[in-house]
Parts: sequence; C-alpha cells; structure tokens
Amino acid sequence: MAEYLLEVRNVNKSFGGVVTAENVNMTVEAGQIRGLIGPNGAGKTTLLNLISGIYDVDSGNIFFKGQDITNLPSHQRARMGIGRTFQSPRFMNRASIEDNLKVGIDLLNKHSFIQSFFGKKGHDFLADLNELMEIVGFTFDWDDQITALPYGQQKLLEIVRAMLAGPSVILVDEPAAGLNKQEQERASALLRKAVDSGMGVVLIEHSMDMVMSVCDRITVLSFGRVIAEGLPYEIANNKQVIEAYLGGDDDA
Amino acid sequence: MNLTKKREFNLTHFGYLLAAVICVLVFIFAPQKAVMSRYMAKVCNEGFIYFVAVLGLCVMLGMGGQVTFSTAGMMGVGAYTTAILTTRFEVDTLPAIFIAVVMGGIFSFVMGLALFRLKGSYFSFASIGFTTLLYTIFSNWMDVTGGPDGISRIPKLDLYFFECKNYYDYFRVYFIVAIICFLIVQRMRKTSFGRALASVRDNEIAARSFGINAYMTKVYSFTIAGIFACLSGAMYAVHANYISPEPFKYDQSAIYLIMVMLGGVDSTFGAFIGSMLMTILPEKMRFLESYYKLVYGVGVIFLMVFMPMGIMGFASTIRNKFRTFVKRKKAAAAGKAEVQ
Repeated sequence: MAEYLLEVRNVNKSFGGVVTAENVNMTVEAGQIRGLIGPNGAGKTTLLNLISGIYDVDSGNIFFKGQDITNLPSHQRARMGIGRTFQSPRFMNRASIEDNLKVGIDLLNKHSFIQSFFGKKGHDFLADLNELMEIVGFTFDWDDQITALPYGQQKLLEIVRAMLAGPSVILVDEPAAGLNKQEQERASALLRKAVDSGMGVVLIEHSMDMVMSVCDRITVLSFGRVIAEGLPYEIANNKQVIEAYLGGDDDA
Repeated sequence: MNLTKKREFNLTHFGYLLAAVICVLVFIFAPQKAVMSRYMAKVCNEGFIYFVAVLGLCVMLGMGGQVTFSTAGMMGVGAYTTAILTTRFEVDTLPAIFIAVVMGGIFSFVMGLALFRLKGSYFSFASIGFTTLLYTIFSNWMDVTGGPDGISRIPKLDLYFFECKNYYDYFRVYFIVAIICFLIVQRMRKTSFGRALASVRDNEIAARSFGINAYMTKVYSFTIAGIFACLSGAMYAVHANYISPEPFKYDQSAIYLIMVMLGGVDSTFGAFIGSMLMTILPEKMRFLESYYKLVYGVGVIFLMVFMPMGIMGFASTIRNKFRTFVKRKKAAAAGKAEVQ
C-alpha cells in the first residue's frame, strides 16, 4: 500500500438535508498535485474545510501521514503540516505585509510568547521568500498595508505565505480566480515549486487549462459524490465528467 | 527583487528617539511646583492610572478585536486586593500590588476560559454581567470590602528605596510605570502572540489554518488585559488612599473604551493620548458645568463619524496617503528617466 500524505476515507457530511460529501475517498502523495474539480456546489470547498478541520465530518476518517486526524481541531492540523489558502485572500487587513507573512513563519518557528517577546531568532525565511517572490514577479515594502496590494498580488502572496509555513500538504482553493493570464501562470509555477519541494497539493480550480497542465491526478465531485478519479487525460475523456461538469453536447 | 531584513534609520526611528528625549525631560522637569500645580499632578497621575488600564483594552480590542466591559471590574479586583492586604493584613504596598496583579491574572484567566465560550457581542454582554457581578460584591460584602463605605487609610506607595509622599512623587513613579507598560504592549504587537491576536481579530478561520488556537489566544488576551487592569486598580488604591465601589461600575468601562477609541485602537501611543485627553479635558472644561456632557456626547459622535480609528488612526491614514503619493512620484520619475 502506497504511503499517502493525506487520505480521505469514506467521508460523509451533510448540512440539514443537503449532502455535501457522500462516501468521499481521496489520497494525496508527496510531490503530487491532486486536482479537485466539479460544478459549483459540488462540495469541493466543503471537502477542504473537512480536511483542514473547519467542519467536523459526520462519519468517515481523515488520515495525515498515517495518523487519524479526524477529531483534531483545525489549528492542530495546521501545526502538523496542513496549510491552506482561500477563495478570497484572508489576510489581517489592518496589518502590514510583514506581519501578514510572519504569521506563516510563526507556524514554522513554533516560538512561545516569552521566546517571541525576547526576540528569539527563528527560521531565516528571507532566502525562501526571495526565491518565491522571484516566481511571482513582484516585490513590496515590508511596512505597506496588505490592502495596498492589488487583488492578484494578494492571491499570489497568500500562496507564498502558506508555502513559507513549511507545510507537508497545501490545500489551495481557486488560486486562478480573478487573476489574469500571466498571474495564473505564476500561480501554477508556485504550485510546481511546492511539489518540487516535496509538498503535496490539493487544488480546487475552475480554470481547466490550469488543472490539466499542473495536476498529476484529478478527483471529480458532483453533488458531494466522487464521480471520477484518474489522470488528467482520463478525466478529460470521461463521459460522465463531460456530462456533469464540462458540459455534454446534446446534439452529438 | 531582493527583500532584505535590515532597514535603515527612518522617520519612525527618529520618532522613537524624540519620544525618549521628551520622556526624560518630562520626568526631570514636569513634576515640580513651578511647572504644574499639585492638583494638575494628581490629574496627570490619574491619567497614567487609566492609561495602564486602557493598555489592556489596547490588547483586547485593538489587537484582538474583542469588546469588553470588564476593565472597571478587574480594576476593582486589583484595588480591593491591594487595599485589603495593606489595611487588614498590613502587607507592604509593593508586595500587595504584586499579589493583586498575580491574583488578578489568575482570576481573569479562569474567567476568560468561561467567558470566551461566547463569541462577539454575546461575550461583550457577558462581560457587562461579569463587571456588574463584581460591583455587587464590592458593594455588599460588608465584612471584606466595607460595602458602600469602601476602605480607607490605604497606605501611600512605598517602593522601599523611594516613598511617595506627595503627588509629584507619584507622578515620577507612575510615569515610569506607564512607560514600561507602554513598551511591553508595543513589543507585544511584534510577537507571535500579537500577530496571532490580530489574525484572530481579522479572520478567525484563517488564523486557525495557521495553527493559532483562537480560543486560547482570546483567553490569554483577557488575562493580559486583566493584569493591566489589576495593576491600574492597585495604583489607584495607593494613590487615592481610599476606595469605594463607585469607580468600578461597568459604565466606567465604557469610558475606558472611549479612551482607547479616541486615541486609536491600533496604536499604543493613541491609548496614551486618549487616556490623558479624557482625564485632563473634563478638568479644563469645568467652566461648561452641566453643558460639558453635551459637548462630550457630540464629541464622541463626531469621533465615530469622522475618525472611526481614532486620532492616531487618522494620522496613520494621512501618513499612508503621503507614502503612496511619494511612491507614485518616485515611480513616475523613474519611468520618465527610463524613457529619456
């Protein structure tokens, strides 16, 4: 049996009568980008929220590096190495770019309040940051407010922040939404950099160009159920997927 | 594109240097009869006392985004603990203050564990109940707190190497205490805890996804606010030498909230400005008599409408606009030079 970084096993979740996850199974290996696609309301973001612990599962299990994390609170899952980004960037809007990035570094350093108060030296993240900023193709002033950055740069910086925290798996929710073509390519390059560093990535994305070009394997959700799983070209040629998501041609 | 950690000496550093010089000058020259009256020294001391309490709100509200009305109640805990220890058990003032602060920290930690089971406005309302409960205890537990009569003959502050004999002496000591507390909070902003608090304030879900235990972070902030409030209460007790339940009612907490809002919730220095203005202005506006409340009410509305982030927030907005303007000018100049 392959050693999975992340394994979702028979997970179920419903909100009232609405089923958002039904017997969902999914795995992510180190150095792999797992695409998670499906029509709006398919339960993709819900699945990310179940993995990151924002929601509790109704039944089923989630394993991370072989350990059952189903009942762990979200902050403990993050400390174990599950990072994530959001559909809309979620920053500290009243804080500087420096402070926003350092929230990620704090997760890596794991300093206590007293250690932090007395300025204990932490992980030197500048080299990593510069390397990632080279990929995203812009720079900033440390003291600038995060809100001073354009939306596209905020989205890219959110992925950078998640990567700086040194997770084993990153859950990336629609990184290309609202980005122009060039920024989308930069987001793809960041994800490739993440897997090259040995991380696993779960990618939710509606841009099929991006999904097909960066994903190693793809899981397709529809109404909370997995309707297909496989290599990108297999998914692209799967009739059920084409009908449910990519749009079937009635005249054909 | 090469981001570096080192920053050259800039305007902010110059501001700190200037502030340090001003502090030294104030410490040396201000507490003297020729500069200020005894009464004004007393008012300033009260400003410093309130500032220490308001620093707790800086942590809770400014950094953590939690509106609490518990400040006055926790001040009461500090004041009554100090008063009881010094008058009934004849403990010296300095260890009494220390015990009051430690006890206040433990008490607020336990209360924080309970209160933060509630979120947002529910927590705020519960904090009103908490302060009202404490006020009821201060007012009615006759044997211990003296009830409405309070506790008198609280000894003057004695630091062993320096005894506060008059308001000028208190001014010197309280001014230093205020500076130390200011520096602690200022430093706290740049720690992992400060960032965790800000993260919980702005987006709790995102905070959790960065390994931050939102619940415990809020409990710790409540504990820190409680410690500052208890210290402030203890300072109040040994300064006034008499305490009664009245200053520890929940409506006094609302005034502390206004102090921090006036100065600017995101600024430690703003808390100082807010505290001093709200303490000194009423004294300077006594000639308005009962109309003072009218001016006060209009002032608060004006503040919320035109400066929702307070005086320092307003200053910060102007500074940011200026920075953006300078940057654009520089970028335009660089573009022009490239074309040429």
